[in-house]
Amino acid sequence: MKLNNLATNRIPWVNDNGTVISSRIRLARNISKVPFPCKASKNEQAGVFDAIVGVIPEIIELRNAQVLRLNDYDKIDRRLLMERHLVSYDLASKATGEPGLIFNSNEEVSVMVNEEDHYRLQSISQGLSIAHSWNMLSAIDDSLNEKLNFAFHERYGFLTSCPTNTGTGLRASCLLHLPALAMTESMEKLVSGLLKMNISVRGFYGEGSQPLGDIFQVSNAVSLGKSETELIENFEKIVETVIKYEQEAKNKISMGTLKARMEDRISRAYGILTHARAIDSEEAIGHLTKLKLTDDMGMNLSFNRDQLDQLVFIIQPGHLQEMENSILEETRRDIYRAEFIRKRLFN
Amino acid sequence: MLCNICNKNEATIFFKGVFNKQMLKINLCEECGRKKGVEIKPGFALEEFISNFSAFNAPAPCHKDLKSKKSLICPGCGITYSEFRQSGKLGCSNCYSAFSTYMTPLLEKIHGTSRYTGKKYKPSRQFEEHDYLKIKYSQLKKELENSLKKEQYEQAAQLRDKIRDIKKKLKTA
Repeated sequence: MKLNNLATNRIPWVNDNGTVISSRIRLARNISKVPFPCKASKNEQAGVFDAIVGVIPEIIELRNAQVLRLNDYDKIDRRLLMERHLVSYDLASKATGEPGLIFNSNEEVSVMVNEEDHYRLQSISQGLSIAHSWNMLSAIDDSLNEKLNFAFHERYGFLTSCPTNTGTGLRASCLLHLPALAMTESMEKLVSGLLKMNISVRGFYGEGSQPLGDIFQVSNAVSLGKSETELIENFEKIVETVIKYEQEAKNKISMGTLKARMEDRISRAYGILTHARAIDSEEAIGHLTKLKLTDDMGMNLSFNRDQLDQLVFIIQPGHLQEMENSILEETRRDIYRAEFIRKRLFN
Repeated sequence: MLCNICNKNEATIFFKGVFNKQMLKINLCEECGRKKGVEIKPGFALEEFISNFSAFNAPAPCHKDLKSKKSLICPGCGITYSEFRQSGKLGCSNCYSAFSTYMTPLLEKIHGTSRYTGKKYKPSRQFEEHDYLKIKYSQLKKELENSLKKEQYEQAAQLRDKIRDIKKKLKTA
């Protein structure tokens, strides 16, 4: 465990309140003539890592970035980085090759090295701010383009290991909290509607995961045939529509018979969080996200509102163990988590 | 929404794509999904499903076709077309030309088109060679370290010569 300091910092991309928790944009890039990570030897992957480390001093946004060779970091450190959305599940669990991470001090810009592609440049920020993130990421991409030579095809665009990313290599995504749509059982309709517009909906941890605490990740499913700006504008418009639907569902709940049921859920969550003596991450996330709705429902419950949004993410195993600076097995972790939540929320 | 395959269970897995210029949706229950190769686990990627997915809807290939597809090998990384179909991942940028007959239709299936209209990008020739050398350089240095550790001095000497050559080239570039 080497990243204790990082764990004590607030997660910068967590929006206090609001349907959109965070926005992320990423670009997939590969060095020309070097096999993609799935076929590259460890030495080739190390070369890919060295190539970008060699040029970052020349890139303003990454000049003081931290460089981590993930092979030097244990499971808990990697788990922490995943919880802070600096690395994906795939990179965090990569046991072979030369996985790496480069990130700037405010954690807004990062580069995953040797995940599925050589480089995944990403920018994460609070709320709905994809256009802003894109301007910054595009500038970094331009500087890298001048210094490294990327695999590019006249017809197909940037070449990536998986054809779902070919073209712009761009994936825009938002983490959305949609409790009202979930309660009014509108998620299924929404998901199939979004799919028609080439938007994928995923769970709490992104690809392949289940929704937790009514938090969903939406992202564009298409990366070819449209310009980056078109993809982003289109995506933002769709996210704005989802926000509108969620607000409408909230209004519907607060005026109708569902209000009592929602208040009941929030109060039960409050009761459990104030009294639980052991709680796992999944259950805690479910209850904490319920408390986010007290204002919408006009309820007056006493707890530290400014702690709530961060808590949803920092009660996960990586953060807890790093903050406590010791390896805690599951049962002890659940006990510590219940106490940690009580201290932060109700003290 | 019921599963499209068994028509009994509630569908929990939803896929959508453009196939043969037609919008197609598949809704599967967990059981049928598993039978079709969809495993619900962290890290499950759509790409793992691509190959099965395209096989679902593509007209049945004749045997000759299948044979030639299977025997296609990328000279760049040695991956075969059937390996790609299994993993959903290409091994290097050369794969796009090695499997070119199948790449354009596949990209059209996924994205609705295969024509790039994004940022203009002009790879610069002088950087190309330079980049490659830099990567080769650090790769050889690591190999040298390893062979010194293993006390394989003959191999180390050869590596040192190679490194010296690359250093020269890098200086003149």
